[in-house]
This record gives sequence, structure tokens and C-alpha cells, in this order.
Amino acid sequence: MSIFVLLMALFAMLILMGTVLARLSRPAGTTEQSNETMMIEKVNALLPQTQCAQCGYPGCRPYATAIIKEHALTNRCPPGGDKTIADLSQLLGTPVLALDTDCGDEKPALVAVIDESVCIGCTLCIHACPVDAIVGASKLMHTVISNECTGCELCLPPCPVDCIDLSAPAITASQWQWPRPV
Amino acid sequence: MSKMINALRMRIKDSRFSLHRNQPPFAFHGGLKLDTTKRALAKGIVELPVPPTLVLPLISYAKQPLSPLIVKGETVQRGQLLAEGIVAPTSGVVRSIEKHETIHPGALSIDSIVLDSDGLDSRLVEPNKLSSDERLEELIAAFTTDNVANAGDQKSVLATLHQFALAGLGGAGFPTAEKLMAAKQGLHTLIINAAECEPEIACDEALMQSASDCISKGIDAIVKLTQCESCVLAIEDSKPSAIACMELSLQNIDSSVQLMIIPTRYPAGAESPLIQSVTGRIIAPREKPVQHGIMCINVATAHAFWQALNYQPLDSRVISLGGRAMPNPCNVRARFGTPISFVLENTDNDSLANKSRVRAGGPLSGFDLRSTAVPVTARTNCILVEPSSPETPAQACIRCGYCADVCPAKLLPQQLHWYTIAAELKKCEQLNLDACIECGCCDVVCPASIKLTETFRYAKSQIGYVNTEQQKAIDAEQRFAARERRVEKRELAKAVAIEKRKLSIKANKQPDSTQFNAALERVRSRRGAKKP
Amino acid sequence: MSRLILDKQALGVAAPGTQQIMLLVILALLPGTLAYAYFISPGVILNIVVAIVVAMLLEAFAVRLRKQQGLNAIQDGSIALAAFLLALAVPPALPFWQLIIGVVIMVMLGKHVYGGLGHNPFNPAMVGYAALMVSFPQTMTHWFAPDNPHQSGVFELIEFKLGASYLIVDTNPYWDGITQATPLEYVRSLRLQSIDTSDHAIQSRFLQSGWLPVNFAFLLGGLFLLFKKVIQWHLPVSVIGSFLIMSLMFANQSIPVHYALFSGALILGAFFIATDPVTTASSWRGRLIFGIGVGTLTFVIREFGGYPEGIAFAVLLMNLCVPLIDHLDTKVG
Repeated sequence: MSIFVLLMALFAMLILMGTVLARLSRPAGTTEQSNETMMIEKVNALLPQTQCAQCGYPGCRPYATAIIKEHALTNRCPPGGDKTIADLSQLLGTPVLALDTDCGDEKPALVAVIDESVCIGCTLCIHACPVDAIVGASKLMHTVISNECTGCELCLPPCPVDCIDLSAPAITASQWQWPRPV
Repeated sequence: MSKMINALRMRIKDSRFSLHRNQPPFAFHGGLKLDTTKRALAKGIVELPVPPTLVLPLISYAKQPLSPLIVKGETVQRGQLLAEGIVAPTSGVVRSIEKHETIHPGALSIDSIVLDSDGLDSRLVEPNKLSSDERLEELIAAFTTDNVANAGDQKSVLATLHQFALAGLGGAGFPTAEKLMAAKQGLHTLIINAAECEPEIACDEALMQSASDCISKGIDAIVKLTQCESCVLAIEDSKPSAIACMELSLQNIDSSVQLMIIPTRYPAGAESPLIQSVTGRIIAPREKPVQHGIMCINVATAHAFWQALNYQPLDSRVISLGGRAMPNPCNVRARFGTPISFVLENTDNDSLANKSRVRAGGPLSGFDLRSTAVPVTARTNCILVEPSSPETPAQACIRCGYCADVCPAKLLPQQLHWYTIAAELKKCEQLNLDACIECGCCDVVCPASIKLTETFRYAKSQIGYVNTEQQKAIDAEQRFAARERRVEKRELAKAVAIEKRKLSIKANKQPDSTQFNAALERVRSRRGAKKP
Repeated sequence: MSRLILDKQALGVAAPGTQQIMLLVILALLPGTLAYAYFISPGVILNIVVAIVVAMLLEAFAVRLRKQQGLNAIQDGSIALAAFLLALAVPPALPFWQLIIGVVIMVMLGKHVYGGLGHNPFNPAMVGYAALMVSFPQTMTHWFAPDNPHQSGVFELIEFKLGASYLIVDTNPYWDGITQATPLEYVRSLRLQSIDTSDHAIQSRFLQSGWLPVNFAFLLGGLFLLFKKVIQWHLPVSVIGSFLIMSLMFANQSIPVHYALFSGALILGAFFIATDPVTTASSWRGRLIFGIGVGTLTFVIREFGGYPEGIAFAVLLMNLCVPLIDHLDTKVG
């Protein structure tokens, strides 16, 4: 009996030591909460930052938060498309889902262009743009900075004279890419 | 049998890579021995006339658009600065600034200055002309000033150098002004690159044979300017007459320049293999040679530097015309902005076979052109006309590894190829894809005729695209966050003001009615004025 | 669009295409094959012809299944080379139907199920050989006595190969009278009976066996490939070198080293089988490791394992390790 008891005691001590060491050796600040924050950062980094709210959340970071905290589905981002869904699935270990077409369709990246001959300078689009890509002021000409436009289309509905169009961004020399060799 | 022994003997004789560990020229990994007959060399340099219209693309080396310093309709003189690093190649009138097709693998149209020449070719009149020596001394003085705080001096040096409009004439077109400014930090070795390694390109060789004195003076000037400890002129052993000319002319200058003969091997003239051959040092993929105190300057650029000191900024260059379907191969000196069709017409090369391809750049580093209306720039070192031949279809990679044997950058083209096909761009980056100099050696030896260099160019631009997109996403998020904060602040301020107002109303039992009464008066008087 | 290479001939570089490489390797195999046919048995020629024809037909069919251009895909000659090697590896008296099964496994399971040329992780010839070895151990381990190679007429040989079924092998007088173990098999059977193999009589048996000149002829072919720069020195040197070192370390338990080197398929394996570019490691460092593994495993299997010849399984086992070797060795210069 004594040897058995001794062995069990040793075993229990080892388990205790192991637990204590594991707790102590965890890096400082690593708690359940900060784990979550880290994951939210990682998910946010995979989203396209269009800030269009097509996913139903007011921005990309809120969507990322919802994915981690509320286990929202990963297929709600039309601008990110299938690539983002695949990346998220790989990060989170969830199955790859098809894009939820209720949120929108995957479209090629477009930028908004204001027709300056029609613009009345009402600033409604400026207030709507989530990334401040429209330059202008009341009763002065408004212009979209193409490089900063994410194609979220939030400026199209508020425009009272419907002067904003979406078009493919012009390819400049610095943006030209070699085609894939056949 | 004797043929074999002879071939063996030739191989041992030809390879003059040093057997000693510490004596240059050192061998670099890989590379190929190519057929280096240069058809263009036979006839010296032909001076091309000035074309009636010249087109100057307004784009910098970093592919950013340049702002023109002149307007449509303005009359300009030869040598006048039209934009940063661009001078007018001849006198004339600016017809327009519009999009024009350029020498580009994707045949892009870029905003360009279209200049109509007036036939006079008159130069800009320079008041207070100094001699080239005096000018050089001025530059050196400003260059080596210890007064770091004197930004004005730095700016003026840069402005002078920009007026020279110098760009690397080896084919890459890197702005020489920036290169020289970077060398201010202390240069140990200056390498003058005269190793024209690619077949068909013979412009540097022709220049050395005809203008070796000016080249040497240019080298001398750069040596004095950068105060380098040693200067080496590296030239391939397949250019005996150029070696002779340079040897003679280098004796007449003050600075001592070592003439190093390196074995003919492609791509010995590329920057990394050249530095390795001359100094034995290997530059890591993300480093610049100037960090090691080494700088490479093309021999034609040195020539251009001398011309620029004599108030002749860079506005023309020697171009080799070659290729198996070029009727009349030769070297020409053409002004920048000359359409290639003009070049071909004025060198008896306009009767091209129906099915031939025009190519800008060498056989390994160039690309086919869709039209010959495109203008010559500082980067155009060669124009080839090749017979149109059916493309060998690419077969499956058999993983033979020949490509890694010949890669001068010691990369693993096979792995890079597989990873690019699998869209694993991160792995490509880890394998130092950006160290690839796109020399084309791997393409030549691949038994399956896989387009390796094109694959790497595609992968590089994809990586660039992904990085740009990532950066854009980060910027968009930052702007979004800033906007949220701003909106929040505004809402908060509003709420605070309302609260304050409420509190103040509560505090004074008497409502503050003076403002209200005044407003009421205003309304009444307006109403009263309206009612007749 | 940029079509980089104009013409390799115009550039003055002798860069062979895939087809030329395969043909060069087949050319290098010919001296060994002819020596084999003379010293051991002409049945090997029959095997080669049947194997190549069947393999090419099967590959055209497989390529059609994968919806690719049939003629282009079989033009590269890689399956012809694999069939050649398989035919050399199996005994000359192997019945045709068994050989054809081996070829089917080689083409389909060894190559095309993975995606065709360049995509297979295992050496196809060795896949076919291993499958046959495991499925038909009797016929795969019976070889001709090399001292009377012409005892059987060619017609009888063909008749036998056409007709022999597994069931009648043991009772077939032709079979019993002609076939015999290879030197390696003989040595193994002796050792199983705990007989000392360093006896002079046993050694002289090796000298008489026709396998020495055959292996020497293969060595000549391999050196030809090295000279033509189709293969590099890393693989043959590391395979043979590691085998040599292993046999020197275990010298007193084994047959004499110089005989071991020239018996079995070590030379063939070192120069022709392990050097199959698709299934070997990509870099020179990886190839050295691969070769050391193959040589070591060959020795271990021969010496301590259940098969008389270990090169096939050694190569297959190292093929398993190639992805790991490549992954570890991605250091660039």
C-alpha cells in the first residue's frame, strides 16, 4: 500500500507542479481577453478595409469583433470575396463557406468618380464617405481622391443629383502588372 | 578526338577567372557563355538626324508622373529643362502634352511632351559659362562641404546634377544625380561598367572605340567628385580594340584607374555579378552597393557626365540595331524622343520582313514592341528585329535543377516557379525573389522551355500588388478610425453643449429671455416689413 | 508577349530539351543492355520492347483521360525511359503478363494518378518493380544461370514467357533447369544457413558470373551521362560512396566490397534510377543527402533485410523524404 500511495502522491505532485509552471510561464498579459483582442486584430488584418457595411456591421473592425465574440459567419464580406473567406477559414479553422449573396455580390474593385458638371456642392457625400476620400466643402466642388476610394459605394445613395459613378481605376505606370504567363 | 582536346584547351585558356582566392576577377555563380558576335559593330556610330517630332514621356524612374515645367505652345531651346531630369533634345515648339504610347511591355500610354522641332537645333544660351574644370571644382566644393546644416548647398548640387539630366545608360535608367548624392557618404570603390555582356548590344563598345578620351575625362571627373579610394574599369575580354583605346586614353588623366579585364560571361555586366567579379563582395538582396562603399556607373554615363560638364546635358544616346532580321545592323546616336520608326527608316532598315518582331532591349532582357511609333528614351540601348517564329510550348517541369546551376543570384528558380504556380507568394519572398535580376539564364537552359523569367516578373508584380493593397487597406482603416474619432468628438461636444445649456437653464430659475426676446423682435420686424 | 528567348541556337548555348535528355539517357543504357543480353539472357530485349510499347500506349490513353493533347505528352520520352528501366530491373524470364501488370502500375499508379510528368513523387519504374516484387515473388527472384546463357533458345524463352502461369512455375522443367539465383540471392541464402561468405570459392563464383561486365557496361553509360552533363556527380558519388562506407564498416559480415559494388543494380541505381530528376531532391545539397540515404538503405536492406537487392526500396523510401529535404534546404546563397 505504501508504494502505491507514494506513487500516487508523486503523480499528484507532478501534475500540480506542471499546472503551476504552466500558469507562471504564460507570457505577461496573456489572458482570455487579450487572446481575443489578438484574434480580432488578426481577423481585421485579413479584411479589405472597405468600410462599406455590406456585412451588416458598421465597418470592418466591428465585423471582426463580431466574428470573434459572437461567432458571426465568415462569408459576409462581398468586397473581400472568396479569397477573404478562404483566408478567414484558414485562420479560424472553420469550414469554407460560399459568399452570402444577401450581403452583396463580389465585384471588381471600382472607384467613385464625381461628375463635376453636375455636382452642386451639398457635402452629403462627404459626410457619407467612411474613409474621408472626398475633398470639398459646402457650395464648392467635390472630388473623390481615387487612390483613397475603397469602392464601398456609400456615397452613391445620398447624392441628390446622382452625379457619382463607379468606374474601373485608371492603370498608371506604377500599378501596371505583368500578366500571368500561359 | 583532337577537336575535343582543343575545345578543352580553349576552355581552360578562356576562363580567366582567377585561381587565387584574393585576386580579382573573381568568379560568380552560374551564368552562361553566349555567342557574342555583335553584328552592329561593323560600321562605327551613325549620327541620326533630328526627327520632325519628338515625344518625351513624363515619367520618373520610380514610375511616378513628372510635372512639366513648360506649357503647350512654348518655344524651347536644346538643353532647356522641361521636367525633372528631362531636357529638350532639340529646339522647337511644344505641340501638346498628351498621352502617347511608350516603350513598355504592356504598351502603356503615358502623358508625354510632344515637341515639334524647328530644324535649327539651337542650344540654350548659358550666361557666365565656366570651363568644365571650373564647373567640376564648384561641384566638388559643394559636394564635399562639411556644413551639413547648409541644406541650400545640398539643394543646389542636386539642382545642378538634375540639370545634367543624367540617367544610367546601361539600360535601367537610374537617375545618376541620386546615385552620386548617395555616394557622398563615402565611396571606397568606383566601378565603371564597360562589360557589355548581352549579345547584340554593342553601344558601349562602339562608344569606347570612338570617344575614349571623353570617357576617360568623364571617369576622371567622377573620381574627383566622389573622392573614391580606387576606381576600376571592368571590360570583357571579347572587346580587344575597345580595351586598347581605353588603355591609351586612361593614361592621359590625373586619376589612376585600373583597367580590369573580366572573362566574357553573361551576365557579367549586371551589377551584382560585376561587383562580385571586381571586389569579391556579395551584396545581400535588400542592400544597396553604396552601403558597402561601392558604386557602379556605366561607361556611357561617365561619357555623358563629361558632356554635361561642358553644358551639353544628356539628350541622346548610342543605340545598337541588331537581330537576325535587321537588314542593316549598325550603331546609331539618336536624340531622346526619336520614334523608333524614324530610327529604322534612316538607317536603311525600313523594309522589314512581313513577319518579323521588333524588340526593345537585348535578346534576353528586352521585350517585343507592338508598334514602332514609340520614342527612344535613356533606357533604350538596343533595337532588335527578329524573324517571327512559332513559340515552343512550355512542357512540364522535370525538376532537373539546371536553372539553379546557372542562376547568377544563386536562387532556386525551380522552387520559385512551383510556388508561383501555387500562388504561394510569401514563400517566393522568403526565397529572395526580389534578388532576381531577370537575366534570363534559367530560361535558356530549361529543357521544358518554361517561361521562368516571365513567371518571376509576374510573381514580383503580384507581390507588389498585394503589398500595395495591404498598405491601402491599412491606410483606409486609419482614415476610418480617424473619422470615427472626429465624428465622436463632434457628437460629444454637441451633447456637452446641450447638457450645459440645460443645466444653465435649470440653474437660473428665470429663463434667460434676452436672446429670445431679441429673436422674437427680429421675426416680428421681418413679418411687419413683409406685410404691407 | 515578351517572349524572352529567341532561339537557343542563335545564342550559342547547347541546352537540350526534355526529349533529348531522355534519349541521351536511353543511349547511355544501351551498352549495359547489350552486355546484359549477351552475358545473361536476350530475354531482356523482349522485356524492353514489350514494356516500352505497352507503356507508350498506356500513357497516350492516360493523357487522353486527363484531357490533354496525346501526341505532345508522350513525345517527351520519359515513360519510354521508365519502361526501359523497369524492363532492366525485372528478370529476363518474367512472363509477359506479369510484366504488363508491372507496366500498368508504373504508368497509372506511378505517374499519371499524380498529374503526369513532373508531378509524381515516386520513381515510376521502382513503383512498378516494387509492386511486382511483392505480388510475384517467385518469378521475380528467378534468374538465368549466367554460365550457360544460350542453353535456352530464344523461341523457347518466348514460349515460356507467353505461357508461364504462376501455378505451373514450379513444375515447369524449363524453369527448373534454367533459372538460378543471382549472386546476391545466393549469398543471402548462404548467410541464412550461416555459411561464411568470405570463402574463396564463393568469390570465384562472382568472377564467373556475367554480372560483372554488365555492371561495368552500365558504369560506362553512367560516365557518359556525366560527361555530357545530363546528370551531376552528386548523386552517383553519394550513393556509391555511402554504400562503400557502409560495407567497409561491416566488412567482416558481408561479401567483399568490390564484388558488392558490381553486383545487383547498385551501379544502375546510382547513375540511372536515383538520378531521375522528377523524384530526386532539387538542390545539390539535397541530392547528396538523398544519395547517402539511398546508398545506406541499399546496404541495410541487402545485408539485414528481407530482399536480396535493396536499391528499389531504398529509392522509394528516399522519395518519401524528398519533400522534407527540399523544405529544409531552401537556403539560398
